[in-house]
Amino acid sequence: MNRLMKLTVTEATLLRRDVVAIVLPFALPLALLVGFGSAADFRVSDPDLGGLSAFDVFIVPVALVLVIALLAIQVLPVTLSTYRERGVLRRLATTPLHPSSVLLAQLLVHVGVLVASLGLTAIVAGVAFGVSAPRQLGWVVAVLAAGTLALYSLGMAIAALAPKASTATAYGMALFFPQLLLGGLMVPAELLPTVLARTGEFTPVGATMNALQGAWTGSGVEPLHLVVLVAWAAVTLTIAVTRFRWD
Amino acid sequence: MSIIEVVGLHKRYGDTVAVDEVSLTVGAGEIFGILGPNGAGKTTTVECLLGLRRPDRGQIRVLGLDPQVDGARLREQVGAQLQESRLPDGLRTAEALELYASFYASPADPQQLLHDLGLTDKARTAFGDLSGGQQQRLSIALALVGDPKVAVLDELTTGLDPRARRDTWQLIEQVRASGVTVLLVTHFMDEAERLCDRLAIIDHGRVVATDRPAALIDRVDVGATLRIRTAPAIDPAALVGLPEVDEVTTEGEVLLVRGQDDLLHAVSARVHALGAVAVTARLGQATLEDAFVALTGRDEVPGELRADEGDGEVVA
Repeated sequence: MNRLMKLTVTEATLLRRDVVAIVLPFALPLALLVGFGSAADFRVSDPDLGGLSAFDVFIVPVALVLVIALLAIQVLPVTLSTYRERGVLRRLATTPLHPSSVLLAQLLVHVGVLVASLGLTAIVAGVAFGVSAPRQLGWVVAVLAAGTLALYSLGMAIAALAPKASTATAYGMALFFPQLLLGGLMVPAELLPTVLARTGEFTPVGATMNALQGAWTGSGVEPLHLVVLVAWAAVTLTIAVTRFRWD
Repeated sequence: MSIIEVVGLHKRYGDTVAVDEVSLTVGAGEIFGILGPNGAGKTTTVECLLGLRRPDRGQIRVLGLDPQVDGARLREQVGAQLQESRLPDGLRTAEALELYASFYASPADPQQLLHDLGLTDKARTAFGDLSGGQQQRLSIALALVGDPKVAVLDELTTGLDPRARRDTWQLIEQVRASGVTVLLVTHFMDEAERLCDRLAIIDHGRVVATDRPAALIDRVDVGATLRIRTAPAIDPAALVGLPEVDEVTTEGEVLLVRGQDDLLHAVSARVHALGAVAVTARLGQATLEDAFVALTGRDEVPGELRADEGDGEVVA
């Protein structure tokens, strides 16, 4: 346990020194909140949205899901592939420690950053912009957890399949941006062509976004979206476990 | 007492046989070298020793342990620096040593290691900002931080300048002096000749010979080579008749004389008798390169086995 803690602290230190990787997960959601929160139009309560504003049902969930997707499929796989490419994992394999410890340490650091970033976003949204608490708080937490599981499994599958760090970056990009579009994070899903919006519901980002909106507004979480998340997690985690190489 | 014992090691990747039939024994306190060209199977052999790869056949004991069964216990006592294993660029020297020290049950003192390896004033420097030589020294330090009984050092001086290579060699001798058995994997002839007590020459996945470097050279009966230039120039035919001389060829004004051990004496006596004087004369002896060529049956030494320094005249 002591060894894992030391490794986790070291990984956290390294992440802290990587300015891009550590600033984005905090700056991005805050910029969204401040940018859209300052525009009065977005904060008008809309009877069509059950008395909530566009800010409540769109901007806040986007800020939360964006951070999970960013860390899970852009940051984590690139870190792990870089470690493999540079022989960091190989080096660890020569010590009494198994290189999987570094994966565990990375995940612990990510959980820490995620909780801090999501918490900060929620607090700023509530305190500074008067966003009401989620109608189904338990479901919000559950959906965020399921989305995190599915997206991190996808991220680890990327790390397993990408032979090099540059490939991992490319895979990450290719999976990140289309999901933002289809999942209704760039444009609200209601404004997308039906076929795109429907497709988006079957992506991990889109399913998380849809389920999160349902839980936040109290309209309820559709079972389909939870099934989608569990299915993605099962498939990609299997790929990650069977295909991941340490050297 | 033998520290490492390998018998009949065999490992293939798909259709490629990486290690065909490797057997070797390393004694306590030795610097034992594994010398061979790229792709000869050196690294695969070492990875099997550390339990990182499962051999297809053969028996391995390191400190009496089977790497496949007691891998973690073995790695407590064997420090390794593998080819092309780097650290994250942002990790600082002292942090790396303290981190790796925490992996072992009874590690060496990181501060002492920093001092021994001349890295104390680089303690707070990030890995990415260290020079190639400093990165190599840190790499050696990490291999020693577990206070191991055996250190496995793979291609330690590749990419280093001549000065850094010599410093590294000195370091390895210090490591051995502290009681650690060293397994040195190299493709440099001069490194192997200079450092190793004993040496296994590996080619195409097989051990072609194991011995002291001097003994390997002695095995090769290449005799002596004398390059001589005289004033006035003498007729090469005048030397051919000498019993010590096997062959005379010319390279411009220089006569290249191959023959037996007493070559220098015999040739200079004849030159003198002809009323000429030797302007330059250089006697060449068999080197490990000659031994390598003779033992592997290759036509010449593969390019990458030659020292990558410009000339051999730099003396520390």
